[in-house]
Order: sequence, then C-alpha cells, then structure tokens
Amino acid sequence: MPVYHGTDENSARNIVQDGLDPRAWEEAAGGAGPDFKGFCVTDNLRHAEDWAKWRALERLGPDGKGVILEADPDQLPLQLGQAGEWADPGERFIRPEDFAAVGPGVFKPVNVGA
Amino acid sequence: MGFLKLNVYGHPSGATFDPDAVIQRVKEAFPDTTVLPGDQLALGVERAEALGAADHVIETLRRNRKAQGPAYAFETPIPGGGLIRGRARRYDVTFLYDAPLPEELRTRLIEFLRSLGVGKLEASTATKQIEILFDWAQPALDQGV
Repeated sequence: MPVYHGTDENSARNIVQDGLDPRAWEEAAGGAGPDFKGFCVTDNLRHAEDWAKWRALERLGPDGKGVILEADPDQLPLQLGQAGEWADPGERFIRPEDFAAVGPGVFKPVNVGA
Repeated sequence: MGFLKLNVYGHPSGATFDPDAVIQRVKEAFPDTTVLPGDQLALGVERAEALGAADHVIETLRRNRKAQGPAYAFETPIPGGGLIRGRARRYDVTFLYDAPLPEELRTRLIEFLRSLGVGKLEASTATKQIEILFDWAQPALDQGV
C-alpha cells in the first residue's frame, strides 16, 4: 500500500524531479519553519488531499493547485514518531538527515488540482 | 539556496532556545534586521481557521505551535543586494539565503550561531546531505538564550 504526501504544486514538482532536498524543505516552510519530525507521509489519502489543499492555499493563494504524491514505503527511510512526539494515526516521517536517500522519481503525483 | 541552522531538537543537552531572546541577539549582531510581526506558527493556525482548512490540519498546526513555537521570522539585507531570511524557534535558529553567500558574511552567521552556545550547527550542501559543522553538547552558562 502506498504512502501519500499532500503539498502545493511547486513543492510537488521539486520533489518529483529532484527528490527530497533539505534546502527546498526549509525554504518552502516559510517563516513558521518545517516540522522538526521531518517530511511527513500518511497512509490516509483523504488526509493527504486536505494537506494538499491547505498548502496550495497557504503558499500559492486561492488559485494555487495542490498535488498529492505517492510512493512505495519500501523505497523510503520511514520512521515512526518517537516518544514525546505527536503523530496522527498512519503518519510516518523521513528525517532530514535521510532526505538524500530519496531521489528523483521516488514520489509520483497521484492527483493534480486538488 | 542554502541554510545554516543551529538545531537543538532531540539534542542530548535537552536545551531549548528562548526565541524572544534570540531575536534580541540577532538585532544586536545585525542591526539592519527587520523582524516580521507576530508568531508565525500562531499566524498559520489563524489563517487555517479563517480559510476553512480541514479539522485535522488545524489540529496539527495547533500542536506544532504548542510544541515548537513561538516562531519569529526576520530578514537581514546582504551588502550588495539580496536578503538573508531567518527564523528563531524553540528548537532552532536558522538562516536561509540564496547561494553563494559572501564568505565574510557566512563566517559572521556561523560565529553568531556559535555564540548561542549549544546545539548542532548544520549546513546545507549541494549534494543534499546535511553537514554538521559543530556540535556543542552542553549549554554554555549565562548565555541567556
């Protein structure tokens, strides 16, 4: 079963084309900064869709598009939340120090214009 | 683009930063700095609520605000053009910039982060690896941050 990540279309394009890059992750997070736990994926497609909508609205405005990405979890260095860290059910993370292990094409778009 | 980040998340010292104190230190070290108004994590929650984001999205943003905030954002002009964009949060102080950064300025940023006295100093690289420049295991006394 794949895992999903919902985001704005610009971030999605970068992730598909370049893989996970700590620089892009830090930049996209803006003034609030990224989640310390890392790059979040979920097995809940609906949740990923909601995040895609929110990130598109937050980062690109009302005309922005969200994209849901999917990947084979066996190709990802996934971690569960650690003691003291909150994670939604079905949520796992890729730690920033592991981003280099996720290259181009590992994530693929599921939906366009969420 | 690139970044320099002093990170205490999960650090064995157990230290955290006081973002208000860090911002004061940033303004003293880089007097041309402009601090954006408000806690950026709290503002994100407000925007999500106002724009009708899904309930679980809002809940996650609220938890992140509580666990990781406050978050203050600032901008510092680079001599000759460009901006350094910065963040001060409970677990990190980060400078982001469009590479390449003048070496003298990069050194000033590193020295500033070192002066905060605790944490792992991380630098971005062209290979997407994160380079650890320093790791201070214990907080320095009377740093006030």
